[in-house]
Amino acid sequence: MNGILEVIAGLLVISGSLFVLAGGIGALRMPDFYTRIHGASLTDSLGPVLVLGGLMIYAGLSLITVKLAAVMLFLLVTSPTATYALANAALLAGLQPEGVERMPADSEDGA
Amino acid sequence: MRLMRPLLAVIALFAVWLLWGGLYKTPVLQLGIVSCLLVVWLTYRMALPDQQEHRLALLYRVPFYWLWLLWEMVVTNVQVLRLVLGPRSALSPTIVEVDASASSKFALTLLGNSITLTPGTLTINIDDTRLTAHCLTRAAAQDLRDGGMARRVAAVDPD
Amino acid sequence: MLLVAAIAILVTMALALARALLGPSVYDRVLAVNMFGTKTVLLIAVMAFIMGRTDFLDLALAYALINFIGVLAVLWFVQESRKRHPSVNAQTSTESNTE
Repeated sequence: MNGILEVIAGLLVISGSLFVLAGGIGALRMPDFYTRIHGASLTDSLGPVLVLGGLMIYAGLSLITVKLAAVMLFLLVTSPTATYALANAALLAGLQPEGVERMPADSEDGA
Repeated sequence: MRLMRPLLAVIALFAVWLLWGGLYKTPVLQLGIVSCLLVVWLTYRMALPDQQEHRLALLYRVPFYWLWLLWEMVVTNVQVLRLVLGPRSALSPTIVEVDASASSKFALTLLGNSITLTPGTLTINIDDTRLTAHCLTRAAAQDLRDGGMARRVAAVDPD
Repeated sequence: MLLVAAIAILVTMALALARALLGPSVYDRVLAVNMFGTKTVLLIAVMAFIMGRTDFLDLALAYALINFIGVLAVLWFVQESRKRHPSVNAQTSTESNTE
């Protein structure tokens, strides 16, 4: 019983760290700034959830789990906010995305 | 009545202090109360919080939304993982505008953050009437425009 | 297993540092530093379990707070200094772009 839980927790942590690693590769090899953010956001979404979720299973029901949950909640609230601040600052500074196609809201089938 | 909200904030902060500290001696507790009061005073000095009425309904709807968002995150993470490791020609960056004129501030924040949190779509600008997002592929932009996520957010906060 | 995860996170941090050094714009560097910071939080959490010192989690939480505020502060600084010295920043911040 304990062994199985530990294996599940380990698998969660490992798969989370794989997502994190892939995000790092993405941030390095994507062609322009805005697509690099997508790579980096890979490390900010499912990666922490899986890693911290796996650690929560390791810890069992205790104060440690509550702390891990707090870290996770905090990361999930702040990382998109920071990313938005970054992207918006770059946009306002005049950094243009490369090779994009535009889809405005008010074209043929828009609301 | 005006003191109600700061008082609730102090109590909530002190509860967190008790949970985190694990050291229950009188001087430590006094220090805790003083620092909680200080934090709330500084916050009010910085900016008055939004005077929206409390909507407890949000408290039970938001967790269900999070569960849906978690599933959405799993799907989009796997998609972006393949894009990142695959050839560059698979990318088709698109900028899409979503109409958001009917949303409250809370709904707009939730929608913007959810879009950024799911990889492959990224909020780059929000104003009162529309939200601009950068997408890694055309398909992701089309999904965003079809408005599945916006409808979920609107269901969480119908105002 | 935790050790493998810690190594993967460390490699990611190295990749983020490489992006911070390569640039090319200021925003790429801020992005890399932000990524480095959130990966530090994860690394501290994993290390806490490897070393059996779970009180390290408080540090992870504090680091997450500092990282968030730090990124916003750096962005604010970049924005302000662009306003004050437009010519200097046109060279250093957006080399590959118009303006």
